Amino acid sequence: MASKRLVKELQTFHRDPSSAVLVLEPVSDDDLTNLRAVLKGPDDTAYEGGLFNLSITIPPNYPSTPPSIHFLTPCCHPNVNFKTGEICLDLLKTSWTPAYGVVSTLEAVQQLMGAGGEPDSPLNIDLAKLLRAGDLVGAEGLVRLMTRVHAMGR
Amino acid sequence: MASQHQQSSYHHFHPQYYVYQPAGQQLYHDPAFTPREYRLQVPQPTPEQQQHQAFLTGLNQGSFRPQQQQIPIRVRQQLHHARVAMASEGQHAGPSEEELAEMQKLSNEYEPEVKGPLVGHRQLTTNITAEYASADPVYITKTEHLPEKYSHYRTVRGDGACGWRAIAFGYFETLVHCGDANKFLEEEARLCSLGNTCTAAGYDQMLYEDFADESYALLRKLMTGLQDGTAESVLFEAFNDDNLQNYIITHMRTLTSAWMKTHPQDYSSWLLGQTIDQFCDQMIMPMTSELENLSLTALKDVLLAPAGITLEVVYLDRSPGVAANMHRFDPGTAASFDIGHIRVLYRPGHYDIMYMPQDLPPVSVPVQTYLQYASQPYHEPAYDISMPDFMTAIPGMSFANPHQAWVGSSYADSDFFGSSAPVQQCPQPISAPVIAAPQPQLQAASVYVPAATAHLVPPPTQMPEELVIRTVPHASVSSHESFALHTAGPFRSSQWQLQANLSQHTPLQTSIFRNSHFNTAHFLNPDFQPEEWHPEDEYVTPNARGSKNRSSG
Repeated sequence: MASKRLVKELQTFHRDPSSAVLVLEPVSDDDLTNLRAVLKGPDDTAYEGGLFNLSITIPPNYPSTPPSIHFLTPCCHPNVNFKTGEICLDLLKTSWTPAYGVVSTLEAVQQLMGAGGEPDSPLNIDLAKLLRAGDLVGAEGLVRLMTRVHAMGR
Repeated sequence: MASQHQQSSYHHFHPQYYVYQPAGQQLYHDPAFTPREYRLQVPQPTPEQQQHQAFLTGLNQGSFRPQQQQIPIRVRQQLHHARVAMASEGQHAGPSEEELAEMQKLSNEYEPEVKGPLVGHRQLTTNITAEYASADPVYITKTEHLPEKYSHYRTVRGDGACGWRAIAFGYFETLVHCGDANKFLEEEARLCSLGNTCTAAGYDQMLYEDFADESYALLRKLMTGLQDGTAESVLFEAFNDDNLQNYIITHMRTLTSAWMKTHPQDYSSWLLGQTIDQFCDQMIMPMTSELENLSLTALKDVLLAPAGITLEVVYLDRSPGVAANMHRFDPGTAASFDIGHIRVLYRPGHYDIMYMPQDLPPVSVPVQTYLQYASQPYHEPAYDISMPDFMTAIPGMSFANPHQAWVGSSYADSDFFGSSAPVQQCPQPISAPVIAAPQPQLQAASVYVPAATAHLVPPPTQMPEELVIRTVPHASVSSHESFALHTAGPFRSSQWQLQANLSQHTPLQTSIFRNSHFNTAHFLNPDFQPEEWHPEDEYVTPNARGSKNRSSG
């Protein structure tokens, strides 16, 4: 069931590309369960202009269980682990519903970036500290710098 | 995941016992396995085992609630270990902050082990009473009254989606019990048309249709299963297929939230501080979200009511009262017809399915006696009767070997039954012609028998005479046999002949027999004896079955 649904999702993506997701493709042609995606940094935010690589692993009983998504490109965000790329998003854990697809999940990740995140349950403590202290300018500056260094280099 | 959950707790708990198991016995897979068996095989019990033994002994002696055994053994062991650990820590004031944080983390991550099949088999409600026998008095009273109304129930795995699963299963099962194949087509069409609602509510059809397709496929499978009687097992298997039932539940969730989003006026006033969209996204769509009362109402409105299904929720909680409260969700005006009921038992946080006796499909017990036949007129008993049983019901017939009993008689080689197989097996053909017997009924008794292939014998339909047949005691079988074997000659008499008072009740006088071609007094009989035929006897039974059989015979 998982592969049938994935093929469908990929076909739909090719027919009707998303504005947030620039690339979504299997890492190798004979394995649909490992995907690579490129996510566009949302406009009008500190991530603007950045291109973020993500790896997506599809569990065997997808879509009953959520895909696991990690940032490959370091992303400076309070709810993203800067080193491992782990994303803290309820949609990827308890709030998962099979009515979401990979593309809509990636769009939700982009929304998480645009919304600025939830600094009270941080994975990036340095950034969360700035935000909780109210230093929005400092936080935005840090994000801009990190996006320029890691996500706009090439 | 399921296989892990199904592992027996014994397996984790007392591996040392298995050392003493004879190889290959695998007692823990055996449903008849009793703890007493392996207990006896442990030569030197450790203190812990002794404790366990005391518990088991208490159980075996029938005292259901031994004084100190209220806490499950497993928990008590953990407590014991915890005490030991604390004692060994000595003067430590308490766990450090880090340890507390760690424990809090473990506590947050803790999920109770979910056991059991996704949907269980139907079982007696008295099991619930037994389950609560040692619980709160309110529960004891309420569960004692439960079996009075609800005869059976079905467990649903309590993994969070139990309410959805119970209703979805009940929906399909009610359709099956309804037994109308057209209803399945009707429902498929109706659910298809709800696709528009889902699209209108903003659900991507591309993703949504996968789930819907599984529901439609199940409806179609059940419809075909209805014809060959496998519908119930098809349904049971479908709902125990983890993926499949997830798809169906997701379909139900999608329908429910689409319905709520497109009918906000019906539901928004019930929401406190939430919009319909928030409620749907947080309380309905996530895989782990349970069936809330509001979503239950919406699910009933979109799925059950238009199908004419009534939903009853029985609340088993600690509210005062002697019986569990029941709330009925009528179909209302959405449907003017009623095809059945779904009854669910709600214990806070969990749903199971329940049945009243009238919800159950008619049980098709294999019919063995004519008495049962009379109470189930739709059933054709002749096909179900195994031959020896049937033969013993005929006077003069042997239980042990019905064919041998008459082979010795002179009827064996006659052309009496044409292609009747037993006739052909006769080892010693005797060419004695059939002589018309002075007592046609009794003679008929011996020729009746070769038609042992049950389908030739029309089932008796007259109650008083059936009772006579039924009362032939099996205990007299051996005397029948010896009697039959010792009798030789063209006419083999039965023991009934010797008992004058019984002869008038002889079952061979049944109108069915009299009107059948096995009766030599019947004109269709190859050895028809015209002088025995009385036209007025011919049409004694206005019974349709009898006349049909006569014409086909």
